[in-house]
Amino acid sequence: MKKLENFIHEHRDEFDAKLPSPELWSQIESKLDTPKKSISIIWKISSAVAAVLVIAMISTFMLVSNNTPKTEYTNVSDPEIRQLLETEAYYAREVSVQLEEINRCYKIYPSLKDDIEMDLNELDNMYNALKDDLNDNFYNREVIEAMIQNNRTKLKMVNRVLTQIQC
Amino acid sequence: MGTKTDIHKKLIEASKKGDNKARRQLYELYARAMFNICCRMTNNREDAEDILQEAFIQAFSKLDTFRYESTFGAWLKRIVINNCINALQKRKVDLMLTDNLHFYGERSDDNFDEKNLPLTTSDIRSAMEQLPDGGRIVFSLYLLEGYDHVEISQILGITESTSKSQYMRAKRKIQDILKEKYYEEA
Repeated sequence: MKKLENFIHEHRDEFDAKLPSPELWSQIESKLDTPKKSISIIWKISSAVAAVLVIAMISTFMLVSNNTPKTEYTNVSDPEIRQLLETEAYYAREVSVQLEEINRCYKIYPSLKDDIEMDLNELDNMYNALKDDLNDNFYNREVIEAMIQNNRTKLKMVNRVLTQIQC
Repeated sequence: MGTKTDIHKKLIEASKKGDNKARRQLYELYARAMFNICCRMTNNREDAEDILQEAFIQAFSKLDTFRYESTFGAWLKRIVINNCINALQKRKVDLMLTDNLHFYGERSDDNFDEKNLPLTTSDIRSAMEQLPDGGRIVFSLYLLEGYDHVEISQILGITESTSKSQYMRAKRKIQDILKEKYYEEA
């Protein structure tokens, strides 16, 4: 009984004696999708752009989080004041992120810098004065609220500029 | 083996990207073996060509899913065999073939010495063509494609013992056909 099995094993290749018609390949080929080159180039470019954007976002985030270490207000006993201070810190971080963004736009639109820098400087001066007040007069609610308002104004301004110029 | 798979890997990767030259080379490397599987499974040349065509189109369109977990040949072979099974099922071929127990008489080995039975590839091939579908398919998958009975039972959706008994019957039937031919010629 083993004889037949052994014979087939030894002559395995001879069992593949038949050949398909030569024209079969062209029939297969005609039914295959061939991806268009232009599409793949667009994909390559857009994925490269996406990669650059992701890297830029990550590095901005890292830069910002390094520059503004999370302020700890655990020493502030009043929970209301602590919450205000944390809100203020949040807006301050948001502002610095947006300023990074607008700084990049300056390179593309140099005239932009002159236009908004003056307003921003004014707000900055006010902010710094408020910060001094805060340091001098302990944690005063009015001062913190004014700082938050100041940052909100900056954010609004910068956002408006950024959405208008789309750089 | 290493270099062989490396050469194929280049072709496979190029084919994944839609390179028709590479696809053609892959086709030419495997078409013959795959075509003969189709012929053995369907016992019909025209059907075999249709299935081969369909299987290659399918393989190229889902080549992305091939991750070198097996050889390309083994991966392709499964696609080809599945296409054969689908075609056979459309033809309503009963893979179990439970009703064919009578197709040969339980011949007592009439003192025939197996060792004297001359074997040739062409005789065996034509004997295989005379087998009923289920037996021929199990016999081919086991002896020529190298699947074991567990794998065959999974591929065909039959039990392992059905696979074994189909194989034994097919083998005996082939020997009977060869013996008959031997006596006729003697």
